[in-house]
Amino acid sequence: MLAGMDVGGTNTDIAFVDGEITSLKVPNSAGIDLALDHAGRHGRLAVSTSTPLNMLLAGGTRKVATILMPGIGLVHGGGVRGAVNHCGDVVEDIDRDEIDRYLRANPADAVAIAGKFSVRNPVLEAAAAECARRYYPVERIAQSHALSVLDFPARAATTRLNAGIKEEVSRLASLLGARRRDFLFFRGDGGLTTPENALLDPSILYNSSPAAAALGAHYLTKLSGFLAVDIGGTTTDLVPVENGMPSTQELTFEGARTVTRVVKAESLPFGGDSVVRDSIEPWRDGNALAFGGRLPTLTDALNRAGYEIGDYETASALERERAEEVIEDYCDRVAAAVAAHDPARIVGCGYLAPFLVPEIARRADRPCVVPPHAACANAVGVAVSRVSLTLHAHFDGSRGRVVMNGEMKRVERVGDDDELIAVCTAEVRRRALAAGAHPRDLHEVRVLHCNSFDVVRGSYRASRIADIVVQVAPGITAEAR
Amino acid sequence: MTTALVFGREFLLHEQSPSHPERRERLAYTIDQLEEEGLFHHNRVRVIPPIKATRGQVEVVHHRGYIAFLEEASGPGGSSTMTRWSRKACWILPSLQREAQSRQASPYGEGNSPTHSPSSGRRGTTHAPGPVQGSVT
Repeated sequence: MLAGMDVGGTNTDIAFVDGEITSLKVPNSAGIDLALDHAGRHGRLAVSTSTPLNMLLAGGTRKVATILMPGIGLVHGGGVRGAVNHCGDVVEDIDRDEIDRYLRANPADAVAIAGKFSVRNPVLEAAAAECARRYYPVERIAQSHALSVLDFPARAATTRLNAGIKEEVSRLASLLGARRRDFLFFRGDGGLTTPENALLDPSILYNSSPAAAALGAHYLTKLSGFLAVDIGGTTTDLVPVENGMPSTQELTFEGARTVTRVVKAESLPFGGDSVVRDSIEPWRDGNALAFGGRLPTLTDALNRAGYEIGDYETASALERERAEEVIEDYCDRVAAAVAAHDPARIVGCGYLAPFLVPEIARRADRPCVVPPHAACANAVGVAVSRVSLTLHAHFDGSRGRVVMNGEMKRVERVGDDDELIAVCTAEVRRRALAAGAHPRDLHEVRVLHCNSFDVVRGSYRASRIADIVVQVAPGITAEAR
Repeated sequence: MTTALVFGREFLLHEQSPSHPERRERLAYTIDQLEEEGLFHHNRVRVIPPIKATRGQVEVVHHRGYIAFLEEASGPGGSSTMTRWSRKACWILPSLQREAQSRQASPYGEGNSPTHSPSSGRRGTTHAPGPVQGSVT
């Protein structure tokens, strides 16, 4: 059985897929333990937790000290000593006293450590992290080498983001792991990953909820091209889906590029819990009146207009005319945003989708589908997704080493491209299986990049260097098809 | 000021020979540094992908005879053409020799015609592998 949980701002949605689909909502106020009780103890459990992470980042209260080792090349202000060259050789060691002075002079909540070419040799970042351990626990220290891709400025920005949320991800991993040791996190690109990998790069969990809704909408409708309209409590998210997968884009953080790709989603600041005054407001104050809240919301406006959602009689405090105006205003705003995407059709997700999406579709002049279990489409998407993994390998025959996702190992020989691709394909399959992938999900391994060249010394071919990137792509697991 | 960076992955396919200065190793190291510096995404760097040159554009900087030589060497059986001429210690096609001889003055200036060795000429010379000699059979 496949179980999926999506921890939202108000509720935790849970779905089970085992030939048939069942789904339920558990209020967050009841605690995550209750949600885990409902999730059961059997089968695979996958969890999307982007909402608490997004809220943490939106708060902007985490102060992060950044240790940069710019090394050779362009100069970056505030950097410290220590340099690795493009071959992965250490050409300048770190100055531990300098790092110690920097950390004492810049107290913060967490530390980000990023060195140029650390993906070719992580030893200096590891040494700097050891210095930081004198002042910070490991849950508050993030390093850049595990991000694996060349792009020092973007890696540094990603590491800052990671430093800010790593402790929260660690807390969630401990909380969930105490109940289900084998659980998996749902990523922002629509795949699953282990808690251990998520702690190396917590940014991959960012904004995963829209990806979950889009994947769930695809699974529930079997449509491959559409715009998912996910009406949540706080926001309404629009997610383009092509070939059954949500489109992804580069994540930016604090105005800087990162190396992380997340689902491409347009988030409108209105949802079922948006407060209604003279008009609909882009903020919430807890639940709707119908679910025990203090202030009338969009949900209550629907009740005043004649629907029966929750304790619908509480909506009598709203004027009917204003309620209808608010609903029209909301539908107009979303329809305008939908039309800008020019989708072939839209698929409604979220608890209020059956009440609002048909009208949004009519105003946007697009066909629409609101599938069964639309209220928990996000949890369905989490349940049916599969383990995905990308392996970045840099082989250097002259130095007898290979660096795979930031880990350096010895290598006896560097063969031809076909041989190296076979080595990387076998390795990514081995790692994915160890992470809990279903064997049938590993039939296809994509080769995303392959570049190699001979190293010539004294007119003779001395060795080979090769960069290979292979991937078990995100998607729907074979177990759910 | 914006800096233009003309680059395409296909540049990595250019390798005369593993020991030639214009080899993949050197370009790959350069690209590694540019990628690590984030210059392909820098807001003051404009990456311009290469476009395929027209024959007329190529003829502005290369001698027609040299282009003909490359076309022959690149076509079916071209490798044998290259090998044959290399084995004879000749790196220039007879047609190119005739064309050069028919000209009173080299378009590249005295002492820098296509019949001179690569070491002395920078334009219009063939960079064929093997020993380079000035004689023409």
